[in-house]
Order: sequence, then structure tokens, then C-alpha cells
Amino acid sequence: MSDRAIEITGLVKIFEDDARGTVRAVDGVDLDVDRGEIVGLLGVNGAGKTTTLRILATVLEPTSGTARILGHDIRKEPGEVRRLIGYYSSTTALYPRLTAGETLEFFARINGYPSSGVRRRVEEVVGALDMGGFVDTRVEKLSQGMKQKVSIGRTVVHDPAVLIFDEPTSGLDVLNAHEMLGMISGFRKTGHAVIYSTHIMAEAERLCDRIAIIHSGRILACGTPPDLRERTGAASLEDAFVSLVAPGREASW
Amino acid sequence: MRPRTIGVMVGREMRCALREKSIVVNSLLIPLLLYPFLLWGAFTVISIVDSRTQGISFALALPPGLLADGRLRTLLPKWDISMDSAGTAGPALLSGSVDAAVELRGDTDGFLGRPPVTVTYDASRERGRLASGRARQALTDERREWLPHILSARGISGRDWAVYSIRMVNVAGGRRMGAFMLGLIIPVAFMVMTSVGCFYPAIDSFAGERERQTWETTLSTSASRLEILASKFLYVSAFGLASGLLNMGMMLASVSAVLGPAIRSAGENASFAIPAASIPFLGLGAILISMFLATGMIFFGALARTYREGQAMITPFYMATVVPVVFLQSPGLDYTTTLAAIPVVNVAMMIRAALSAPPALLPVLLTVVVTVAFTVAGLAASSRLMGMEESLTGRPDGARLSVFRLLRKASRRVPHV
Repeated sequence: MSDRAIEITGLVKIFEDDARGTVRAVDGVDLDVDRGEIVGLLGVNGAGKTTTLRILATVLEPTSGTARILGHDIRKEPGEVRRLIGYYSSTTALYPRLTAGETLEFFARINGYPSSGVRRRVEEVVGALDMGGFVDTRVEKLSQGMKQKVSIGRTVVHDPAVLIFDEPTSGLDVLNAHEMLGMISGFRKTGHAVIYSTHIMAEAERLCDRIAIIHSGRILACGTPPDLRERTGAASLEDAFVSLVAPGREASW
Repeated sequence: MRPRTIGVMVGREMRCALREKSIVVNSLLIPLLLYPFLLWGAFTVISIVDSRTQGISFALALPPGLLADGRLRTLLPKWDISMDSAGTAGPALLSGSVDAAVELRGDTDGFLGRPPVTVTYDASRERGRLASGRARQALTDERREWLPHILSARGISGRDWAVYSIRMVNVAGGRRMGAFMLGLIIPVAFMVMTSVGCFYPAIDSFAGERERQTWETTLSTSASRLEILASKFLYVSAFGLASGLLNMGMMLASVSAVLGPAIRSAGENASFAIPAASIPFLGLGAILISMFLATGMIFFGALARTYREGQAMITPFYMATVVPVVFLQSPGLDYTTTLAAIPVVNVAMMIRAALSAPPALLPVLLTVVVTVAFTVAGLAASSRLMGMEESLTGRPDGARLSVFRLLRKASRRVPHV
């Protein structure tokens, strides 16, 4: 069986904007992610990270190009693709009126987890994420940290092989962000393919096996953090990023 | 479409809705309690006002001439009127010591050249209005008794001068009368309550999701757009149906319990029992109108980003469907095939007809076909809207999305499901 979990080929997304005219939010992205690998999409705001991930999650349709998730084309089999992925974004909130347990159960069932095993699977996830203390509490009454665990739980409860995280630490405090990164890092060991977007260099450097630097909808470079530093001759990932994204504006301090 | 997926989605929607106060209150409790409370309240107020005014005595200023033959004198106590023979009633009326004055004016512009009897009162005082009414009644009674009295004194019997008497006979049985009365109330109330039942869930299922940022969460599940739409349609129409049926049940119960005895005590015959053969038609009407209203509200509310925007987008549709039903109470209007071709009106008329007897099958069939056709067309249009990226991302300039602008755009492509 091939290790390739995500294959993105020539992905283009064009928006028609009344004010700005035609906007190429994603402009020919090619990228692969293997099982057991965490790949980061690193870019400034508006670089095309979220649009790329939304296309992978089949929430948006590409203008041209495509992607395959475990061999399933996102354009031809969007339903199957959604069953195989777990999609987490700062814009995908939880249903506030469900309890933590009901949330996990709903996502397991809606994403096609076998009915007979749903209860057991929910218990597994509750145990793994240490959610026992608030499993029967409504989401609207949970703290930010608890909600974050429920969000991770609902992303993985149907046991998807591919996980998509769009700026998962956005809006979190240092401790919660730290815990979140720890949880994402754990998915490498369980053989999940993870694609992850951020604009925070330190996070990307610490977490990702490979980093794709995206700017104006294009992948400017992709490699391990040492590769990127070496390729640009920069001392840090931040300098490497700046030299790729805005040549001539490297730090002078 | 996978029924299991739709079932899971509907279950989630229902569970969330039943935990939302505004939905439970507006879609379930108000339909259940509003009409019994309104009816009970109205009768209580009427009874209180009636008992208050029955026990009040009014002071009346009367000229001595009117009381000369004693007939009016004997009639006044029957109307709780006490006499005050003050000569100048004006100041007494304004000061409130006299409630109304009966005067024989000196001019001769009255009936057959006789001076008119003038009842003067202060209409800005409730006592003045009531006293004037009673004075008029007392004078009318006096006149009614005067004619037989005079004729009898001249040796003419009532048999000779009355020629004929008038007797009113109502051929409508109690059930028919009850159906007529219910027909005036139930279709309008039913439409309003079914609309109210759909209204908040429809806003909640789109604008609510966007406001809570759960819309993208829902779209990223393995459910297709069509399955999401189907589940939302079932959720909204289920609430509309529940609301309409609860309301209709409570209306029938409260009308029977409160209005029935009051009507019977007034000597009228009215039964509010629904013929058993009509019940399936009432149920069918409830299902059809819930489907139609849910579809329309989903269509107009599908692009709303906030509750407020949702209310603004759905309210015109709500008004457009409810207001015409108010004008369907005209007695000459029957449930014909022509009316059966007009959405909403057809269901209201079917319900009105079914309250007295099972309606004819041809208009019923036409009603079903028309409503289902509109529902399918509305859902297809909503599915197009949901397939549009703007429904997720909004317009780049942040302006409100236009249903019709997006539909024009949507008509040029097949949505991504």
C-alpha cells in the first residue's frame, strides 16, 4: 500500500471579487503528504493557506487542478473524502447546545463510523483526551481548553487517516496552544497524515516534518526546516521565510 | 441520499433546538398555550365588565311631562336608572352629578311635527355613555308599550293591527354552526402558528449556524449538501407541523370548553366536534403547509449570516403567506379547483372545508400536487444556493448576500455536492 495520503496537483482557486476583480487565491499548488508525516503550510495572512485546506476538506471547489485523499478525488468523491478526513479550523466551532459526549457521538455517526462501535469509540477518545470530567457538560459551558479537547476529539472520533488543521492555535493562550501542539504531534506516531497551516514560525519548526512556504497562492519552497534554511542561506526559519516571501527585506537587526 | 445520515443530522438539529429557549417558547409553548389563555382572558374580561355595568345605577334628568302617565316611571327601574328632575341638565352633566338628561325641546323639527326627545350625555365619561344607552332603551321600551296601550284603549286588538309576527328559524344544525365558527378562527390561527413554528428553526438552521460558526463544521462532515438541506427541511417542517397541530388541538379544545357553553347559554346551538372522516384531511393540510412554509423560509433564510438578518429576510415571506389567509374568511368563498391551485390559500381552504365535512377529492389532489411542486422547486433552488461558495464565505465586501443574484449565478453551474 502506498504511503501517500494527500496528493495535490496544480490546484487553482479563483474568486471573483466585485472590488478587486479576479483574485487567484490558490495559484497552482502541488504538494504531497505521506502517512505518519506532518506537513506545515506556512504563510502570512491571505497567502492562500485556508483556501487550500478548505478545498482539501471539500468545503470549497477548486477552479482547476485537483487533490486526492487516499486515492479519492476531491472533485469526484467529495462525500468519501469527507469521511476519510478530520478537518479542524478556527472557523469550525462546536455545537454549543450538545454535550461533549453527544458531540463526539454525532461526529462519529455522521462520518460513517460503524454504529455498533460508536459508544466504545467515544469512550476511547474521551479516555485518550482526558475528557471524562466534562463529557456530560454542554459545550457552551466548557472552558476554552476543554472546548479545544472536544474539537480535537470530534476531528478524530471517526478514526480518519488524514487530518487537516487550519491554524489550530489561533486565539489560544500559551498553555492551551502548547497542549494543542502536543496532541497534533501525537498523530505522527499513530500513522496519521497531517497537513497543518500556521503563520507562526516557531510552531511550524517545532511540529512539522516538512514545511511548504506559501505566498500569493503559490508554494515558494517545500522541505524540512534545515533544508529551507540551507537553501536560502538563512540562520533561522524566519529569515528563510522572509527571504523567500519578501526578498530584500531580511532582518537587519 | 443516505437516510441514516439524514436521520443523524435531524436528530442533532432537534436535540439542539429543544435546548434553545426561544425555539421551545415560540414554536411549542406559545401554540400550546396562547389561544386557551387568550380565550380564557377575553371571557374573563367580558364577564368582569358585564357584571360591573349590570350593577350600576345611573342618574337621569327627566322633564316632568315625560313622566306624566307613569309608564316611563315604571320602566326606568328595570334599567337601573334613578330620576333626577333637575331643570338644567347641562352643568349637572358636566359636573357628573347626572349621567344623562332626557329633554323635550320646544322646537318642532321632530317626527310628525312633534318635538324630539333629546338624550344628552357626556361621551368622554364611561358612565355617560352607558347611561345614554340605557335611557334610549327605556324610551324605546316605553314607545313599544305605548302603541298597544293606545290601540287597546280604542278597542283595536293586537290581532287586528299586528298583521304578522316575525319568527327567525336557523336551519343549520349545531355541527354546521360549530364548523362555521371554527372556519372563521382555525385556518388563520393555524397558518400563523405553523409559520411561527417554522420561523425560529429556519433562522436557527442557517443564520444561527453561521453566527455560531458551526456552518463550516456542518459542511465538513461526510453529509452531502443535499443531505444537509434535507435534514434542515425535515427539522424546520417538523417544528412547523408540531406547532400547527398543537395549536389546532388546543384551539379546538379551548373553543369547545369556553366558547361552546357561552354560546349555548345564549340560546344558540353549536357543536365543535370535528367529523372523524375530516381528521385525515386536517392532518394532510398540516403536513402540506409545514412543508411549504419550511421550504420558503429555508430558501429566504439560507443566506442570512445573523439572527437579525435572518428575521429581516424571512419576515416578508411570512407576511406574504399569512396575510392572504386573513381575507379568506369571506362567506361566499368555497374550496374550488381554482383556489386549490394557489399555494397556501389552497391548504387554508382545505382545512376550512374539512372542519365541516371531508372535502371533495379533486381540489385536495390539486392542493397536494401544487404544494409538493412548489416545495420541490423551492428545495432545488435552496440546494443551488447552498452549493454556492458565497453561502459559506460571504461576499468579499461583507455586504448582504442577495438570493436572486446568487440564483442567477447558480443557474449557470451545477453545485458541488
